[in-house]
Amino acid sequence: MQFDPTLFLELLFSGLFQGAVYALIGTGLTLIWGTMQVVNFAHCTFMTLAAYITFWLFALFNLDPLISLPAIFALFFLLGFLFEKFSIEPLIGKPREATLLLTLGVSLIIQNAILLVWKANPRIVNPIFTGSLRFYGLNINIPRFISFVIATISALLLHVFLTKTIYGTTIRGTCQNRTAAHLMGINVKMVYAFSFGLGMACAGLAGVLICLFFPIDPFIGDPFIVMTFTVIVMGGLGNYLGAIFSGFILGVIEYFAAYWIGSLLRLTVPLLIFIIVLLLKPKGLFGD
Amino acid sequence: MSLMSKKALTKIHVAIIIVVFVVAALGAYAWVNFFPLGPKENEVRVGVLTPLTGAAAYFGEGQKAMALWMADRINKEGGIKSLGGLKIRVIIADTEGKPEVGKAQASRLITEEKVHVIIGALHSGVTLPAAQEAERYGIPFICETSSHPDLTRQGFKWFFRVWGSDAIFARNYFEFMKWLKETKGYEFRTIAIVAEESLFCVGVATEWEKLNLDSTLGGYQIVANIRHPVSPTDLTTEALALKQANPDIVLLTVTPIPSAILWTQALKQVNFFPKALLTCGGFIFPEYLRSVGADGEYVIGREGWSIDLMEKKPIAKQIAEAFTNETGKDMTVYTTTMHAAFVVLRDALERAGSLEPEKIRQALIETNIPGDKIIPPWQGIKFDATGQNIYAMNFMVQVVKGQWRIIWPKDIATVDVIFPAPSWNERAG
Repeated sequence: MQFDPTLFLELLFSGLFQGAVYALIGTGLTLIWGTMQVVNFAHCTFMTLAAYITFWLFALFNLDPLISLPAIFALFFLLGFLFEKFSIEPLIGKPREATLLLTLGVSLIIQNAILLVWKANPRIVNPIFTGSLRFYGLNINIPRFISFVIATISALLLHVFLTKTIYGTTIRGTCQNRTAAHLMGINVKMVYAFSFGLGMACAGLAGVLICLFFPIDPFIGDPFIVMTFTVIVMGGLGNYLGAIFSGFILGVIEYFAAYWIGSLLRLTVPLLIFIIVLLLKPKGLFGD
Repeated sequence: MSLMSKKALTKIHVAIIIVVFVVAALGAYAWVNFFPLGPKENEVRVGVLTPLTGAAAYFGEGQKAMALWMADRINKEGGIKSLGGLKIRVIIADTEGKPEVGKAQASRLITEEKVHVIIGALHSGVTLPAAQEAERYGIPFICETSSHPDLTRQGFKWFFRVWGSDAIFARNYFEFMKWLKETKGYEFRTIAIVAEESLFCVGVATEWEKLNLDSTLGGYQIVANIRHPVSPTDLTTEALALKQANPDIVLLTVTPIPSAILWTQALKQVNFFPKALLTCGGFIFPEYLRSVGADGEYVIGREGWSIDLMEKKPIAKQIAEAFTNETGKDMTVYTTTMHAAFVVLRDALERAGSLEPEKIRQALIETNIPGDKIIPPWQGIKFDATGQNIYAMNFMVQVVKGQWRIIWPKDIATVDVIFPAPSWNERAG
């Protein structure tokens, strides 16, 4: 088969664009796990909720997703903060299944509430920037490109926040040793709520970005669940940089696999790579 | 203890005990025979299996609305007259589009809700196990939409399908292509077959492959044969594969509307549109057109419902207007077939004059409903020995100026087919 550089680049870009979404969802999830060892099963459902709020803002006030993005980010930070304070915090120290079941239950409630309010009709948001850029035979989907840029910048900003600011250092310190952090005078409970809020804000951001290029329905979160968990485990649980890299790697592998091997194996090949990585590095690519 | 021993059983005691036993036994016999256990038969219970959650929930909501609306309509018109005006009570069960859930719900409807008839279950993959449950318990099952050919190849005795089989429908596509070649004079040779990996879509694609082997009808060169997962998050790679293969005609089948939307977006992104895009499944719904807008132009699909039918058939106009006004729901092929299922149910119950399953089954076997009672442009509804409606057929529609218009067969067509479809660049210009 003859090598087609245009096709190769199209697949590479498409994979990177999809990988950016995995990375963003995975970053929020892994941050929550890294800080408080809570598996948030409602993460992708919160992303769906954010997508619907974005749709609502678009349908009612004609607000473009890129304009409503900061508001959704802030709203979901607040939502995550309060959710942690009133639901997760009382369960800290209890068996891990408690938070797992809680988030699973909340996920079901939100999904059905969405179904009740917005019905099952697929909804679409028409952003300002749409269509494809065409040059030298290459087609770049503009909404996917925008979401890639925003997701990448967000992930990098999160990295800067966690490594270069006192708040970020506090979060990382709490991740490493909760008792020591407590003894050093850090308000651990506040760190938990803040981290959860930040993780949820990432989910909110992902929800907005998905609206740019994906028809939304109450179950859009479902196809992302498997890849998101794969991304965070492969990157090393709790390691947000690992999640970002794994997101991109798995996104690109998925697209090349879908084209060269077959669409039905688009997830099989990344998962096979995932297993190989775990066999060689059981704590993930960037695990301690 | 000593007192007890003095009170040994006398003959009188024995006689009293025997009498009590005999009376109790006779009473129990009479109760069971004259006052049967279970709910009193003061209503007709109809179980409706449809997906209310999952990717096909939009279709399920429409079906639920139609089932409740039809039951209400029948009840307001005096219920089932041959049963003394018994009212119909619809019990909706969510299948989630999953075979195991559909089977459990069918079982629950039969054993706990004691339904007299089941209607359902939209997805072929769900209908099969649900119909097996109905078969096991001997409860009539009216299949409204599921079109997998295997459903009527199981030897079921209690299964009656109103809608057609994919074996019939798939053939309609090739007949349409043949007609297109003959009337338009275009010599197209290559086709691509694309299907999501669901029982229904794979069934359709398999029928297409089989029909293509028939040189009198098909005989085209298949340059791409693509299968993809049911709920994809992107279809760019699949669209790129199609573009590379560059077929004249693409035969594409997906069920959920979001997949249809993604396909349209992906084809536009890679800048490829075949001479004719013949679709089956999620494309033919108002929500699809509302979502993709002008990008949906020239897509061709097979239908059981079209707004054009309102001009052709008075019943279609009457039902569609009343249903949409009263429920706010769109008319789709799934609401159309649910309507037909209730027409069949009402007719069978009236003729059966009984709620005994066997009598309802006999009435269903003898069904012969004329075409003017149903919305699709069929001769009517009549079941063959496998439970298949022998009159079910497709018509082909194309998006023309934002509306699905009938293009084939010619006797009911309202517009001329646009072929070959313009490319994306031509449309932009």
